[in-house]
Parts: sequence; structure tokens; C-alpha cells
Amino acid sequence: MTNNSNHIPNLMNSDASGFQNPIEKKTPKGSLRSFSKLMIGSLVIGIDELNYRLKMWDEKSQPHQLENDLDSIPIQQDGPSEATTIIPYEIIDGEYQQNEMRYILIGLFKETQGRLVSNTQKLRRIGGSINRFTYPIIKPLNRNWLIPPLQRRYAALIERGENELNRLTLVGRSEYEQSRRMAQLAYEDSFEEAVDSLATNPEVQNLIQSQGMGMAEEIIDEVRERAISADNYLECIFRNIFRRKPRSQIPPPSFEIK
Amino acid sequence: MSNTAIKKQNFQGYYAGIVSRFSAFILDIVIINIILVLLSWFISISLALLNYISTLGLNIDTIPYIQAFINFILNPFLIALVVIGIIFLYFTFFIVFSGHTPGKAFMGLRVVTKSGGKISFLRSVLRFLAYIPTILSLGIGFFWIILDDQRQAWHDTLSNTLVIYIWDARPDETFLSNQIRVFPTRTNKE
Repeated sequence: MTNNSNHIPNLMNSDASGFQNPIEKKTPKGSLRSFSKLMIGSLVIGIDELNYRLKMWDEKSQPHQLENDLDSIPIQQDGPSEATTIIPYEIIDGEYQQNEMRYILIGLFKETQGRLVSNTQKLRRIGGSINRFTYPIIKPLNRNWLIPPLQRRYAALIERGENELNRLTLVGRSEYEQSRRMAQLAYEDSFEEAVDSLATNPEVQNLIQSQGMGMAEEIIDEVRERAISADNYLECIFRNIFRRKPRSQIPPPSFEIK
Repeated sequence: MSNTAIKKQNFQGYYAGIVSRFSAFILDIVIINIILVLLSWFISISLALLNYISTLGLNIDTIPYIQAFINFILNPFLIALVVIGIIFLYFTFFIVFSGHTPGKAFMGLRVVTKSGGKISFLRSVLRFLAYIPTILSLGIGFFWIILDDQRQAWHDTLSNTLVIYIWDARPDETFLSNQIRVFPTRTNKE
């Protein structure tokens, strides 16, 4: 039993029927196993996240956008039926030449995808037909006395393979959950550690402090500079209105005051 | 005064103008208000706590002279006296010990005597009392800063003090040029 059992006991312990979890048999201890778990977990979470976002982006982008595009295209009522064909903006604006290659590639990709799916279905149908046609020919061979021992061997082999697959499924299911949790823990821990290190690092603190001080000093200087400018400017105007001597003609303060 | 002279000159040690001084005064008023609000909160909470104790069953009337004390605290005359005392302490204490109030320090100003020396306690008290005619004159006493050659308000003249810039005072050229663009004829006359 590994140390992880403290966190996820249900997955690691054997159940009431005495079934021993296959993971416990050959557990490669050490950092490699943890690393592989982390990789699997990250991959799983990453793919989930990517799938979710792809789905979201796809939903956001496609239907409404297309509806808007269609709504904005004028339809000729008295013209032929071709007038209602969807025409992208780029074609209307005469930018078709620039984007031609892009559209071809996208179209090709879509067509290939569709054809691949339809061809796969066709292949399955063909396979079924071949099976139906060849079954009567193969059927007599099954009744031959040479075949049953081979069939038993074959059945035993299949059973062993299925058992192995079941074991692998259990291992995979268990590892999947563990890896996912581990990746989440690693992400949360590393995020918290990063924030902690940023908060406690004296260099970062000094940097923030100096930046803050610098900004405060700049603000104070700016306020003072504007105030002194306003001092001179207002005085300039009012002394002119009241016919007083300009400031430039008044002697500056004495040396003691300065 | 020519524009270039305004731009290039360093005004450290020069008499402080009306905008800087008025800004400093406003800042001081804000700080005093904050102090007074905090003090009133403290008193209100203390009285509320006393009331809370009495609702819990502890009779505060058993404390000798407690009602008289509460009435004394809530006396309007005393409150006015405390407010004036705080304002008086604020303006005299800071000016005597550091030469400027927090508002003036923010704006980079200092109060000095005519000979450039530090302000004594008596002079600071006189300066504080001289604020009364300045304020009662509905702003003319402050406005005098613009017309006076040494940029003295009435309370400065009465207490024989000056207010000067103590920082490396240089005008904001961009701000100034923008203002000059608005009133080009008036500023160019000088």
C-alpha cells in the first residue's frame, strides 16, 4: 500500500469480497510512478478542459453568427431561386480571391471528415455481408473433430485476454481517478506556493514597495508642479488686472529665507 | 514674467502662491475633519457600551457621578471647546515642531519668520488667532496672497511670518503651456 492510501482509501483498499486491487500487486514505487500519474492527470484535465472550451466556442461561434450572416444578405424576390444561396461576406466584398485557398482547405477538411465517416460505415456493411456469405462455407469446418480442441484453446486464450483487459480496465480506472486528483493537488499546491513565494519573497516585496513609493512620489510631485504652475499663472492674471508690478520685477526672497 | 522664465526657474525658497497654500489648507481641513469624526465615533461607541451594560442588568447608576459625567461630555459648549482645541493644537503643534502642518508638508511648504527662522510657540498662537480676521473677511484675507509682493495673507502679515516652497519647485511646463494657450494675450503682456 502506498502513502496515497491516506487520501483515497476506497480506491486502494481491497473490497469485502476479498478482491485484491491489481494495482497493489506490482506497484513501482518512487517518483517515476508519481510523475506518470501527474502526466496522465494533466492530460486528462487538459483534454477535458479543451473539449469543454471547444464545445463552448463552437456553440458560441456557429449558429448565431451564421444566422446573422444570413439575415444580412439581401434576397431577390423576383429573381431565380439561386438568389437565396448563402453568399459569404468576403465574396460579396470581392475578397474571394484572397481567401480562396483557406476556403478550399476548410472545405476539403470537412469533406474528408464526412467521407471518412461514411466510408467507415460502408466498410462495416461490407464486412457484415462478407461474413454472411462466408459463414455457410466455414460452418462445416466447425463440425470437424479437429476443430473443438483448437476452439477450446482459442476460447481459453480469449478468456485470458478478457481477464487481462478487465484487469487493465480496473488499473486504468483507479489510475485515472488518482492521476486526476494528483494533478489537481499539484496544480493547487503549486499555485498556492507560487502566490506564497511571491508574497513572502523580500525581493518581490521590495520591488512592489519601491514601485509604490515611486508612484506616490510621482503623484505628489505632479500635484505640486501643477499647483506651482497655477500659482504663477493666476498671479500673472490677477496682478495684471489690478495693475500690480509683475512678479519678475519684485526682488526674490533674501538668502536667509532661502 | 516671461514664459521661459517660468519654465526654467527653480522656485525653492520662494514665497508660496495661493493655489499651493489653499490646497494645503483644504488638506488640513480634511485631516482635522477625519480626526474629529474618529473622536466622535469613539465617544458614541463608549456611550453606547455604557448603555449596553445597563441593559445587561449592571446598573451604571451605581457608579458615582456617572450621569453628571455623561451630561458633561455631551455639553455643546464643551464639544465646541474640544473642537476648537483640536484645531488649535493641530495648527500650532505641527508648525512649532516641524514648520509645517501635514497639508503644507504634502504641498512642500514651510512657515518661517521674516528672517527665515523657525516659528516660536507664541508666534504660532498669534498666527492661529490671526486666522480669525482672515476667515471673517470672506476670503479677502487669503486672496491678499496674490496681490502682496511677499505673497502674505492677512494672518501672515499679522504674525509676521512667510510661507515658502521647500522642495525643488519647478512648474509643470505642459500644464502651464496649456493654460497659456487658453489666455495668450494676458500672459504675454508680462
